[in-house]
Amino acid sequence: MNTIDERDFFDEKVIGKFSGFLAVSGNVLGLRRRIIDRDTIVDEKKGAYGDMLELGPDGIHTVDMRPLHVHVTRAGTPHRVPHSFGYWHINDVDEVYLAIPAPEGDPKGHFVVCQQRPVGKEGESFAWFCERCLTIIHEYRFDHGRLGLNEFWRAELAATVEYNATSRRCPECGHENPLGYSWNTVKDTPELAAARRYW
Amino acid sequence: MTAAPILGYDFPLDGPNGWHEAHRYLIWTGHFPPGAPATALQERTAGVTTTFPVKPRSLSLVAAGTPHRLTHLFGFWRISDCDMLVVRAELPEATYLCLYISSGPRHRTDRVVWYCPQCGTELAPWSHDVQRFGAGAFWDRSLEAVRAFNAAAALRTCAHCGAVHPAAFGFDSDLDSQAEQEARALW
Repeated sequence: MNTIDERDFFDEKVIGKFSGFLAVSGNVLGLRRRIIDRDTIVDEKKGAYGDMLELGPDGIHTVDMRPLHVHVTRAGTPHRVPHSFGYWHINDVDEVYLAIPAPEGDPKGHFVVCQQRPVGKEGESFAWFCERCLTIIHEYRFDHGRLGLNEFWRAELAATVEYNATSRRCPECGHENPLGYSWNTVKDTPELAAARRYW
Repeated sequence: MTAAPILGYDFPLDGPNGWHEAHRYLIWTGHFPPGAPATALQERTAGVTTTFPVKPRSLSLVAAGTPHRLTHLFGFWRISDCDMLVVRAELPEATYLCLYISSGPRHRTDRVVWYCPQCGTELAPWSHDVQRFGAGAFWDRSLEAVRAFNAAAALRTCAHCGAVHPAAFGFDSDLDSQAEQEARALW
């Protein structure tokens, strides 16, 4: 039985459990302490958290991820955060983002990522679109509902390794695309770190 | 001509307080001036009411099936078959509050109930068919249950012990009657 403090996921003794993602009841939550003021969000490892990109039929849309705004990326929308993860994420469920500015006297605010827990055939893809013409060039499907959250990070890394083993050349325009990279910076090789800086 | 697909949604917390439907999520964003009555999350399990401490920052999840309410925000207990997330953040200019309801095809019913203040007996249960009316409509329709509860002493009187429940209030304070406004200030 959780204590009342453990039921507050922002509690300093609890929030670390959500540094990746954690499934709680019917939701999956990721919680990060980031340097957040009224205008900007900074990830200490990756730098300024810039715009999120969403891909629609008419091309790439830029989402201004502003603190004190709830942003919902609708299920099925390919999206990515440059320099944070080097693939387009396509989720069968909605993703909800909220950045809360730091309280007075504390440089770090709270960044919340939330989605419903996938069930059954619900899952997600890690995909790559040609950076020049937006043709899809590689997709790795993860059956989240069947395999569970514990397999997510293995799948995310496997997708990136699989993509990087291809030519990354667009079958439509012939452009050679940059390497993909994982969300987690720990396994960045110099080549992957360079790719992270690039896109 | 067909409309462009919706890729995402954006809701500012400092905009007007209100509910937003965002595909499968139903999200309430709101803010209150400093010094406003604290909206503490309460849950009811095994006949016991637990009041979560009000902190400058908190994020709590109400699991599906758990009776819950927020003090001074809605004067009834809600029981849903989907989760609710409650995010609270105090900043110098306001206290911001977000409620995330993870709705969708598996969300079928939201219920309203009150508990006898003396013996905990369930009073005046009311049910909302989410599949028929939609998840967002619950917050408007529940005012009907509140007003029926307030109007009938028999509904507020416990058949088991005879205790009388105080008046209830709905979600939208702009719609409060005088009696509902007074009840909102109390609990």
